[in-house]
Amino acid sequence: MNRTRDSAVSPLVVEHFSCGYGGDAAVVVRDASFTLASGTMNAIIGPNGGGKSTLLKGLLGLLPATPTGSARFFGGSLDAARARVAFVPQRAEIDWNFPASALDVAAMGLARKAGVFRRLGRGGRDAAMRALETVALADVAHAQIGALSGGQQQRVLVARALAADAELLLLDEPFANADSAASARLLATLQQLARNGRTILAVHHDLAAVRAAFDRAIVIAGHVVADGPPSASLSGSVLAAAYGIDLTTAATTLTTPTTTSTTSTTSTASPRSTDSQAQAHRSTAAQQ
Amino acid sequence: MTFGANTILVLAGCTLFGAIAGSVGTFVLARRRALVSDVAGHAALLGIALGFLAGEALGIGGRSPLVLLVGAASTAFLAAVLVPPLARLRRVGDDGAIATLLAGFFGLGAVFFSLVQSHGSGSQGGLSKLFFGSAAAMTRADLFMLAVLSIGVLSALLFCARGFATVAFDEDFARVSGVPVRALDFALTALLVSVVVAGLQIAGVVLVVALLLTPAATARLAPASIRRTAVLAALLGGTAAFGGVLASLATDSIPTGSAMTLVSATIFAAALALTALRSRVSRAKRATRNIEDLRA
Repeated sequence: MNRTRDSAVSPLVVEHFSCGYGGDAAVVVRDASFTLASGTMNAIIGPNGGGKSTLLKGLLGLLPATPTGSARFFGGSLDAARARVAFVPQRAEIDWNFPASALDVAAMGLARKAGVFRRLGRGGRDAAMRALETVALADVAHAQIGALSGGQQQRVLVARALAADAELLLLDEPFANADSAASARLLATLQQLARNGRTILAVHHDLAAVRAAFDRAIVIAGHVVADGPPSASLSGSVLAAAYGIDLTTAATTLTTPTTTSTTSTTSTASPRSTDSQAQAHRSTAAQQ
Repeated sequence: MTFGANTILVLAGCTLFGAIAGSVGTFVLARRRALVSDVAGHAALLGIALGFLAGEALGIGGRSPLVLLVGAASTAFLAAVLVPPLARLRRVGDDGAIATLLAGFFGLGAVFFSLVQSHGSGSQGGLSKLFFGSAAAMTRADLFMLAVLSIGVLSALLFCARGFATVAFDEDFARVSGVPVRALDFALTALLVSVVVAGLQIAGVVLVVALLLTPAATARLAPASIRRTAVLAALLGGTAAFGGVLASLATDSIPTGSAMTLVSATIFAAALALTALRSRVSRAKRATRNIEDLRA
């Protein structure tokens, strides 16, 4: 974390990005453009099948078909920025019977930095342990991963990304199948990371949670329907368009603003003032 | 049962092979490539037949071990590396890719093998040896080659263990982080093929898979890190092979490869029963505690 973070360079700039699985499925997400500001909480939200996870995987080059358009990470290609980017998959995609402890999984985050072919030294073990402490899992560091609760398993995956010292975390449905206590805990962890200057981009399905805790909501339904602070981008009319049904009733209970969304797909939404961001950076530095 | 020099040689060779097969199998199983080793084993038959025909044609003799080994390794490796790209195709999938390649290569192997058998100097009755192995025919040179292979395999495992584990646990994370996934998969396939080919003489194309995977599956029943699981699988594999050779000698009628496989499967069954029993006991204890808590 002692790298000087350049907040002027956006962690992720997406322009006219289209991706899909190739073959008959063709393009799932078409012509997406958005820019993330560093140290912010960003949600990708939208109906099932709208392409939320596909977009995330497409940006990270994890789809079989080559995407079109551009995605620049920290001002360059993904290849140049791999050390600063980490993917946190859906918990359901992991085999939790894999022979490993929580510490073993966190240490996998160091695979590249510490050299895949070298033994993990004391420094590596310490870094993995610190990552577990950040997500409040130090007490179960030596527990087998299969014995952890669902919420703990999700946080182990976040710890692995932290051990890698990633500045941009892309999370696929981290709140899926989590009970409210586990969700609150994970959310608090992610918010703390954002305050410390890391950028969060999470696929989410819960409108209320995104409204309450995220700086930015990108609504996806085959394309970017709306993009901006949740108060604007999650308005009733936008959601009606994205989900194909009128969610106004649901939306009003979640304090919908009266303003209609300004669907700006290229603007950098920067919910925090420069001042508070600078403060966040100072506090990060103070923690070192 | 007599313990001549040959018996000790066979015991040493099989135990060594059981140990390295178990440790490599742990990583193969973790990467969910278990049945790829079955594909490699069955595809080796084609290579052996082609090696024999090539050796005869080149005038160096079809039975030259080097030619046969190179042939077996080539087709086993080719079939194994074809599995992932075929499995990635939509509507094919892992099962489809494995079934097709295994059957395809084996069928082709059978065709060429019948050519070998109709050949003037072709091996008579060699097919059953290839299917089930002939550990008793092990020579000093074979043992030496096994020892060299073991050193190579163990160093490769020490070198790659962390990378193998990272990729096996979560390929997507590894790819995004820039871990050399392709190189590591290539290395694992090479290890798998080396072990399968080395095991052909001991256990044959059909049973070699059991020596690779059964100890690994048994070791996974105990919660541990992947390193410890690999060490445990090596111990179990070595023990099963040792026990198998002894059982084969004692009965005088069970082939060594089959005996080793059976001992390995028996250990697995016993471990499975033990695990089930332990979880039942701990559940009962928990239930008793809960009832006591309620009473208190």
